Amino acid sequence: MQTEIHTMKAFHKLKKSCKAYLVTATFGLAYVMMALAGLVATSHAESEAEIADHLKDNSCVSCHLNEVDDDNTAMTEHFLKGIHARRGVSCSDCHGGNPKAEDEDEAMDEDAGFIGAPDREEIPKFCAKCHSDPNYIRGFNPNLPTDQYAKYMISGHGKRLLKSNDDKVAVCTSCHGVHGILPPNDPKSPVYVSNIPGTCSSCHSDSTYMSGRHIPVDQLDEYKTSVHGIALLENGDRGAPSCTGCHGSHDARRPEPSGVANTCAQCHNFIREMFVASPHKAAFDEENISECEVCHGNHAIQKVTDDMLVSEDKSVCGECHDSDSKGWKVATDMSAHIVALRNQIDSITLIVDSAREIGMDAEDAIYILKEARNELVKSRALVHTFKTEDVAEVTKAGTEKVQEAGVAGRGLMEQFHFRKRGFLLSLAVILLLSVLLTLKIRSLSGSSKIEE
Amino acid sequence: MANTHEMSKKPARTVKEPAKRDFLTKSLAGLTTALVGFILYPLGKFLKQPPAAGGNVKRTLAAKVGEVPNDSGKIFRFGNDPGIIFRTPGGELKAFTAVCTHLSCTVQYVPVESYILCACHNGKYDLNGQVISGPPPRPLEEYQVDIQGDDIMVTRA
Amino acid sequence: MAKINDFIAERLPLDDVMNALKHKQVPVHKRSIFYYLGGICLYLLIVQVITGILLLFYYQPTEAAAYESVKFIMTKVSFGWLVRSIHAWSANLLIFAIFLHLFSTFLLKAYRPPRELTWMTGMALFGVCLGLGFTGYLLPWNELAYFATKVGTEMTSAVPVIGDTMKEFLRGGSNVTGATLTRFFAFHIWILPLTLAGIVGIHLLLVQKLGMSRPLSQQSKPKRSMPFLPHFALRDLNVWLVVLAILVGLSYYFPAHLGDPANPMAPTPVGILPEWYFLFMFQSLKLFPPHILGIEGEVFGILLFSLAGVFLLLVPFIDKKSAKGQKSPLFTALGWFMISFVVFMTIWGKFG
Repeated sequence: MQTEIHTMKAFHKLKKSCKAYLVTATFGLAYVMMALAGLVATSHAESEAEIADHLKDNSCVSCHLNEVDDDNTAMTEHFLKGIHARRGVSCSDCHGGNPKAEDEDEAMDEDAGFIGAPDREEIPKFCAKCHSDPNYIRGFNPNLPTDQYAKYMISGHGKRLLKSNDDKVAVCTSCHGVHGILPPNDPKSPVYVSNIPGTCSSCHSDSTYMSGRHIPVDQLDEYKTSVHGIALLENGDRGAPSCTGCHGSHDARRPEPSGVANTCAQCHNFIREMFVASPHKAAFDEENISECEVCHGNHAIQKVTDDMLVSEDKSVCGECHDSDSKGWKVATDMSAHIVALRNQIDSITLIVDSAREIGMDAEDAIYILKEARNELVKSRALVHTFKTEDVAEVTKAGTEKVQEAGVAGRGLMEQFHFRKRGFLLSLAVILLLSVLLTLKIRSLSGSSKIEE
Repeated sequence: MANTHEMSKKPARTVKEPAKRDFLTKSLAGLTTALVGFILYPLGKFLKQPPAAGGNVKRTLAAKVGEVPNDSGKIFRFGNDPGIIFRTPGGELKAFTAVCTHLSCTVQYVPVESYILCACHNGKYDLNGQVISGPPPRPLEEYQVDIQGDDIMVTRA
Repeated sequence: MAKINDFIAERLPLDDVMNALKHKQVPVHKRSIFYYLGGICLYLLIVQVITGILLLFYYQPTEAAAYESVKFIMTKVSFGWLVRSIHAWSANLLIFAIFLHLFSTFLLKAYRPPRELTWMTGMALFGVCLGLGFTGYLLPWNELAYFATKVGTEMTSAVPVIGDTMKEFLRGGSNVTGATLTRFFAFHIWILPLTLAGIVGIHLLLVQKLGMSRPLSQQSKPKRSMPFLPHFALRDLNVWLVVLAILVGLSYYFPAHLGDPANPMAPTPVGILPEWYFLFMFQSLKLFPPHILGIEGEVFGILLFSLAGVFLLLVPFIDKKSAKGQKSPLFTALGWFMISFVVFMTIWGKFG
């Protein structure tokens, strides 16, 4: 039964691939191979059997897989699991040589074009042979970009490699792995979004490796404490930015101050719009201050607090604005509105929580409080307009909601006290009635007679 | 029976002033009435059907059919959280949680451009709940929609 | 008014009943206090019927709605929390009162002729009330109830021959599902209460017809008594008032809880226990070794409890000595043994 299904599958794949062959004759063969590889891979578990048919007669694979040298065996096995082998790209496509030749010397004849292992600084070019060729790549994946090499060349890594001949920088294989390269959407890939911080930090957090670089090595530690790090690494939100989200991947480098805001605005566009429309924009440009970063930091971006407006030690406004300046007044006013709303929400939450704890139905009040908190979040975003009236308008809406919740919450407490009074009063009535009944019983005559 | 005679353990209390006895009887009657009141009051209140709402519900009435014309949306209460129901320009009814995955603000439907917006930080979702742009890290949870007569009902897993 | 009275009196033999009650005498002696227990049971039963009917106004016996409807009663319905809490507490107190009533009757040998039938109907009532407790516990469809029911119904499969059929019948399938809920609802609302009403009628009729039993130990002393109306009835009423105060107090300070909704997919929570009144059986069954005399320990245990039940039911015919009006110390000892066993096993089951 099992085999039947596999055969059927293979048949359909073959049928499909025949069509493909007609359309793109060049790559049709690869598709047939894939189909056959699929058949083989699903029917057997052994690693040797996983070899795609097009690699069956490949002397690179057959020799290196059965070599005495464990490293080379592992390399070949690794390669067979990667995307290249799966898409029909064989060893010789990158390394040259003649896979048809049985003889070792003939197969790896450097005169006939065998390259062997490229030098480290040659690797980007080595990969770019194919990956910068849109015509070639298109046949495998029309959506795969082919600008990696160009981007790499303007990256911090590429510039050092090219200009300073510094080969202690990341090349393609540093991040993507060597032979068994996996596509970035494979969770096992080192460049899968949640693996990126670990991949980058394998060099960037290594103080020995980074010595003499004059850049910090604590980015990962900082990032782990940040809202983004927590979202990505703890909550598994793959939409949260990893290192490459802000620095870029192939073109990774330190963002310019003027570029920081645009980087953040990839997601936080609303804040960016408000900021750009504010007087801060011109002032920051003039002083060449990096916009978001100067207040929020970079790798260790923390959850914002209201203290960041006005407080003894955490005020970011106070970093520039003197206490008698107009800017400080705006900060104070915005802070006053926000903190007032927050305090109101907190105090009503206390009432509602205590009502809930004593068993009252607080669901309506909790729902309204959520709406009020909604407005609080909104008002906090609006500080980036640096206009008190914008903030005040939203906090006012929030305050109305809080008051509504307050009425509901106090209603619950009243209801509770009503319950309590009712309980005590009814208890009193019952017990008093019982006492009177006892008196009544005692007043009855003939309560005990002797029978004959 | 006829031969039975008084054997009260305690001194006979039969000789009591009528006034005192009257008071006891009256108090008993009064308190009994009060007790009956204490029982009937909650009973009456209990029997009055309260409006259905809230709670950890799995299914709720989101809107009436007429309330959601093409390319418009409505926020409804689903248990303790808001939900959003909207009709796409193509006429399909869809429902999602209205709690933004970024900082839990309530999202809204934007007609004409037809997308879901969280106004707090300008997070945008498409009509399948997937993030288009802005800070939301995750898509919105989708609910099932069915129509019962004039009622649009929404169910969550 | 008088006309209406006459109209009714002519058609309904109420006068006969009133006359009978007027002439009814209740023995007065050192153990008279135990006469109140039956009245307390009756009173709690009435409370159960009233609050039960009230809960039916809002309760929905389906898998999807049961938990939500109970939550609705507890949070949205005015005094819903009170009605449900009284129903729950009254159920527990009722079973407790039945235990006391049963054991005091046993120790005082009130089952001796001519009250054999009164005793046997009482035993039946005890069984029906346990059934009511068991079926009612599932109705809120919360996690605890779900798993307690699962464990409880599982036990029936240990009964020889018909065990599996019984389990399937109770569960309405091989597992506890929504089908079990509707079944238990039918048991709890119709089958058991109707049965109960019938047996209570016979039990009360017998009590009225035969009067209260005067314990053997009190036979030699002067035979004092008091009239049922109004002397004893007022005392009954007074006790009921106190019980009402206790009920209201318990419901106010310890409202019935709701728990988490049942989730058949969830693993059985650790330390799941049946209701306290089943604990002594639950705990004892755990003590049996896997195999006794070639049969499964649990089967053996259930057989033993069934035998004990039959023995209790038939005790008026087995206890020949007290039937003859003689002292029966063996059965007194047996009674005390049973009490200690139940108390000890319950405490062990709860805290052990």
